[in-house]
Amino acid sequence: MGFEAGKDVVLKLTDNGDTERTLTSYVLALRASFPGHKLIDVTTMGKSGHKWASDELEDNSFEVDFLFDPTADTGPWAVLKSLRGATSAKAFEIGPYGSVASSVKITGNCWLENLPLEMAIGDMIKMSGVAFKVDETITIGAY
Amino acid sequence: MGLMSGKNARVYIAGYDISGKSNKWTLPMSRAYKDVTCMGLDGHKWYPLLYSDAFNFDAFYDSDADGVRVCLENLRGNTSAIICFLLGTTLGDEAVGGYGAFQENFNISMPITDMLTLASVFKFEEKADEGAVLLFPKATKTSDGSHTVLDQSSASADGAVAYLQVFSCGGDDALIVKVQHSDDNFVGDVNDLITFTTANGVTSERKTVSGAVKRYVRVNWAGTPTYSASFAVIFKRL
Repeated sequence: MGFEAGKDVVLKLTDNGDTERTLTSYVLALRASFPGHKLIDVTTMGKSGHKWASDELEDNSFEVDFLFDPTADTGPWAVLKSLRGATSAKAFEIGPYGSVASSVKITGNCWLENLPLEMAIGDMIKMSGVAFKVDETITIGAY
Repeated sequence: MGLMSGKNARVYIAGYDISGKSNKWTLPMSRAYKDVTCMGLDGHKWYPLLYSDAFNFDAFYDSDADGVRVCLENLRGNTSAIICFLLGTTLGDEAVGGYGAFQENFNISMPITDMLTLASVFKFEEKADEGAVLLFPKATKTSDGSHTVLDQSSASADGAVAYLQVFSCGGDDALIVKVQHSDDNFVGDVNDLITFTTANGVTSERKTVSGAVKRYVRVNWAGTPTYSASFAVIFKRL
């Protein structure tokens, strides 16, 4: 393997009715932050530079730019607006460069943090910067 | 349905249609989460708290009596504006409603090399009603009637919310706008679901109803002849 293009990203979200929906064809960009821990500054007297320790807690999130499509049930608007009222974290699946066998697959459960709707003249209706908080940990596996 | 262009979007604030003078809107609908991570977990765990919905828009400054400048000036200090966003202009198109909107800022940009522009931010009370639909596209009516029926595929049991925006209406027009529902496409079964307060001028209102909502819905209106009223309605099953 080598460099991978961003065009093959796969995104699946489980809606509030617990049905998995594939939203790949509406995604313009996906930005993920999956740090394995947060760093705690444990610098003490006598040190000449900062010293760090891990809090041993994953702190994961991701953000997606979607094109708006109001298609009932399967479109991104239907899925995301259902997640606005979610009372439990819902499953997600991200394939950074597709879902062919042995490609990386990232899974976990997430909460919808915001749903920014953007309407501008000369552009399509978009939902840019839709943010998700990951509940507990992610699993990095393979298809 | 499919992808939608932004040019067909509309925004109505407290009886003002400012769509023709603005060029960009964003609705950053967000929700806070409390970190409830406890001992023994390997990653942060979250619990949902309050919604925090807002509306930002950019517009061109204009001095028309029904323009965005007048609208924003009238809303300074107003803490209960009704706002409707339409993502299209035909019956059944997606819409978002918000109430108790509080104008958080009202900025005017006056550069020597550019047009005068306005920008404003509104915060909603509680949360926006996303997932609404356009039930009566903005139109002027001079005689009583009903609009095309919207078939929403099935009945529901948890009530509904509707937003009315009246853009113009005479002082003695006594405009009464209703949302009606029916089991049989209004052939024989016709029932009033929501009746808005009688309008005799520019106004806006949000009304809710609890209980069963039948499959077919439509808007019905009546006034005191002769009248001329321009209005729009969005609707959402809860």
